[in-house]
Amino acid sequence: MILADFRLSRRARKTVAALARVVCPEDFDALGVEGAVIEEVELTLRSFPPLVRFALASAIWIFEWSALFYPASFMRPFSRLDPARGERHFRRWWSSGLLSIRQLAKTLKGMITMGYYEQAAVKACLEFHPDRWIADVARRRLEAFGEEIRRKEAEVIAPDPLVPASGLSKGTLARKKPHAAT
Amino acid sequence: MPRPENLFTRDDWTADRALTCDVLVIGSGAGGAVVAAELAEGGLEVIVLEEGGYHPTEEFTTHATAMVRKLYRDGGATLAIGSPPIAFQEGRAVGGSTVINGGMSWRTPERILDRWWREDGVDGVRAKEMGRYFERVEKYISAKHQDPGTTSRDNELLREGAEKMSWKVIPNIRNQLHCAGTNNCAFGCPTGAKRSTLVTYIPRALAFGARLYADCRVERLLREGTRSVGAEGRVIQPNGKPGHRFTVRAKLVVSSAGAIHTPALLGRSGVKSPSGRIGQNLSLHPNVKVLAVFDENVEGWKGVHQAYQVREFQEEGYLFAAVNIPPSILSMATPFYGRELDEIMRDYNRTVIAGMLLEDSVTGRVRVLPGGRPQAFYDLSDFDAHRLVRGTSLLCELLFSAGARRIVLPFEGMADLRGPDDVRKLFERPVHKPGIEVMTVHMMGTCAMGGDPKRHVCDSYGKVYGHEGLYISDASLFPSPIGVNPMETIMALATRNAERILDQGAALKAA
Repeated sequence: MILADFRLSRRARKTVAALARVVCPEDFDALGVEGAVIEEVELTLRSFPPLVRFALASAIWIFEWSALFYPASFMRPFSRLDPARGERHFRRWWSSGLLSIRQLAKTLKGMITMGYYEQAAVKACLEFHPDRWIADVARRRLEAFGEEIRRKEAEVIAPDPLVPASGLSKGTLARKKPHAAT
Repeated sequence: MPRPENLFTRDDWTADRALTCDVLVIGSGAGGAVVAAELAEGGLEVIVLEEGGYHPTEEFTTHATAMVRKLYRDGGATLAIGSPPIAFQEGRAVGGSTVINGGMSWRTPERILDRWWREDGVDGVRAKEMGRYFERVEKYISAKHQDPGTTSRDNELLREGAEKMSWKVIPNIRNQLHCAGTNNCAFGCPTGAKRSTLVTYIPRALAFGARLYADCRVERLLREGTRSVGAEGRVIQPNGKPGHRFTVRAKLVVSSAGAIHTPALLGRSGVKSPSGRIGQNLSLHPNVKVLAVFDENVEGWKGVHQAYQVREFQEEGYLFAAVNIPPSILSMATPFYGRELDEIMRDYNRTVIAGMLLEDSVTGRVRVLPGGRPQAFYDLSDFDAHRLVRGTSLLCELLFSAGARRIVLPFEGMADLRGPDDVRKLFERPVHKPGIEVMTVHMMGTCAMGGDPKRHVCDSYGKVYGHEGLYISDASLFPSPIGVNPMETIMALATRNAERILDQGAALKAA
């Protein structure tokens, strides 16, 4: 895994937290997932290529401060707006006439909701519990087919040289390999 | 599980190093792993360089976003620029995209192979000639139908809908060994049942003496005139920065870095084709998804991913399948936020996510940006945009016939459909092309093979025209899109290319 040396600034974390209250379901605060969601967003940004990361970090900054220019914000940045005004600010981006602004809004929303729906508490609300399911079917698989699976996995490394149709190389150069399976 | 002894990671590097071998394979996915295994067993000394990390089966979990960061190139943030922008995903790990694909194993359609032979002059590629390569691949990756009882309800609904419409629907052939239906294919199979190259051809290559170096990014090929004699690059540190340098000198180089990175590698290395078509001819099977909400409990995650394919419209270039994805990834792709998002996500267990793959009719290109990174460019044609709308309308008809009560569309600004009568709304006004949510995982064709050095980049067996010692073995070779999942085609062509290289094996050893 490649994760760049990148951290969201304190201000950017506030922006992301405020944005999460707009784009995530209403139980965001009740579930106490703010810190975990911000961490997911940061990890996601760290995995992105530098140019994309820079663009999105800039978008977070611009989104925060562009709120100053709306009269209803009373010269406050996005993270200090009340929920209704914050939602209106986000909606301006979400339904902007400019495709690039809409795409940025979608991407920011996507990164945040992705982090939200990855939380165990949220998965439980959705009755989505794949670990239990996987443990159960994986156990049944080994009970029913364990021997055959082991046999097939051994066959994967058994010699069976490719024999060219032309026969020029006679299928193998027959060099003895110290690691070769027998 | 201990790491195989001849598989090395960044932890094994303490200084810059120079290595030598007979054959250097760049990439360890469907193309590279197969070539490496066949050549290693054939007696050649093989080194495989893989940019991604080594992540054994035990590391795969249901934490989807963590797996995306671990296994996908650039955390999945890869985009073909154009109208609309198209998100594409490729694996970056030992095993390449076979670790994260859905596990569909289909032979290349006969009509495609015939077209390649007839229109592109590809030698020895017709179905009767390719049969033995497909058979060999299918043996190692265990390509077969699912065991009974492993199919999820979303797939059964897709099948029922198709049958009600009297449309052809078939069970998928998948590379799996008694797959239990964990539905985690796209994030690494947690049981190893999906027979990716990570658990098949890579162990095979290693068993026959190949050495695999993970975390190694190849920057450029080493060349002497028109002959490729190896490659050089850097070991990647955990933060993505370049670490120790390496050079690998080889008698022959095989690039299997995929249809985006192979042309970029050639471009960075100054390899020119007489055709001038390196990086051209990008096709990518544009893909759209719909969310269909049902009244019944579906729980699409309880059973195998894509158990069936609807093939009724294959000749028109459409395939339909049910493609369950976890809530985190789904939430990112839905056109909702806040309360509306909550509403649709609360129906997650009653939702069928269905996708459509389109055999595209136009091509894009890959260019190397300053700094060496590749960038894909692709404009969906108006014709294909119309076909996406038509295909989506057919898919919606199927889902309503299966009992869907609401369908969320991949077209920005278009209201959800609430019943079969709504489907015609799709045609009431033209769909705004930049607002179509298109994605793909099938990139192909950027170093196409064929019989004419003025039209193609590689000959029929992957050797780059105008160059010695340089082969390509990945989806770059496809002269055209194939209309089905490409993994088995890549593997069969890789087997065939390896056979050709083995024919020269004695000369290579003596060189």
